[in-house]
Amino acid sequence: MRRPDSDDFDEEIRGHLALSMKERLERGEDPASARLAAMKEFGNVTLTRDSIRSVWSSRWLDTAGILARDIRFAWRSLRRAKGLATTVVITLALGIGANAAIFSVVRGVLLRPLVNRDEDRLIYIRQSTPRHRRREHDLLGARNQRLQVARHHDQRLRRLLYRGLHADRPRNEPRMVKAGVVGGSFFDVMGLRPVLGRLLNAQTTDPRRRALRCSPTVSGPRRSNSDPGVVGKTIRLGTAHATSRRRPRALGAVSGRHGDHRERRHKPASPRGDDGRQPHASHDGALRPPGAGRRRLKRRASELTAVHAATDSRASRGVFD
Amino acid sequence: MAKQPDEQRLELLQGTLDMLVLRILQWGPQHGHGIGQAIRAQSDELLKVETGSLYPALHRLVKRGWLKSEWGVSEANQRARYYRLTAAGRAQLSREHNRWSQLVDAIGRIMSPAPASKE
Repeated sequence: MRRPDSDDFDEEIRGHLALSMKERLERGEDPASARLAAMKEFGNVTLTRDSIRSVWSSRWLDTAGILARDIRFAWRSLRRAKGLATTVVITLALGIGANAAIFSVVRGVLLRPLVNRDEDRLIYIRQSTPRHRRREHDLLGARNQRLQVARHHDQRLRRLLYRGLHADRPRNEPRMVKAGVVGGSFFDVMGLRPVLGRLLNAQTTDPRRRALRCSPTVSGPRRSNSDPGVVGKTIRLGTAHATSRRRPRALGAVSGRHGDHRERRHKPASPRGDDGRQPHASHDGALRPPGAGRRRLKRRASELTAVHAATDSRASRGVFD
Repeated sequence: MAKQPDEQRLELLQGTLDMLVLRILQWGPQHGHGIGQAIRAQSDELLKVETGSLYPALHRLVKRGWLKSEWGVSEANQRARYYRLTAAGRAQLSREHNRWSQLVDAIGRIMSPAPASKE
């Protein structure tokens, strides 16, 4: 069955009008009034033609055709008013960009859940040792202090860390790295899982044990040029030697344990820096027991601080394995 | 045939135009103008089909396979598209006729209930 086209529609309508006129002429009307009456009786020719066409056309094709026609019209209109078009484009670009940026922040801060386990029960404790000249104790949501371990740490440790981290880079290109000093139970408490290898735990950071283990970080393969076989291999870091299973003993600074919902005593084994000063800050994440009040936690933190101060001098050996 | 004034004309019930067209074409091929005139004449000028409804209905019936169309020359010596009923169209007319009879019967029973028989 051949699909009729617009010419067919027009010819059919013309035939209808001719027959209608002929009837009127036969009744004695003059041609002009007969034609006028026939047109009046027929009604809207354009509307009828469109109705016939809509019977044969696909709805999707119709919609696409209308859309294409509208786009062509909009394009021609915008080309006629270039100033307006530029303003509209810039306004839209800024609006979309600003919205995307704001939403990215909102999503990252508010909507996207943390990767940690039991994030609603995690608390963040920061403290300064009494030896720190500012003598600030900042606990349980009080004003945060910057963790300045890197600045106060032993220069040898800093050299070791930075040289080690970029030793596998081609041509030893310098690279900004973010590092933190955490206890062995940090990953357990935070509920983090390694992509490759294994992480520290409370046993491996026991300062009484000589053989300590250290696993590659989550981004280990990437920093090792995506070599998953880096686990267990020896990495030579300048004059110092380390393997992916060993770590400086002095890094074991804090510990915490989850499961019994109790904070554990801090075991600072912080090294003394070249300048003789003590690393002043340590931080810990712990699972807050359900229903634990802020006052109780503050009291517990004060106890921890006292213990920390007492053990500080004993644990400060400032040596590396 | 007396010409009825416009206000006395009846509006076609929705869905009945297809049935009327099929019925008119039962008597032989006809062009659109002729179909409209036939409906008007056979209803004693009570029904008047608007061309804006008639021609889309004709093309819809062709698309469904109930009618077939071919070009011919009308009595006005003008090319006109003639429509004729197909076998499928006859079957459809029969179905619609039955449904229409049932509808008229049902409405008639409500509007003119039979008097209760005396025991």
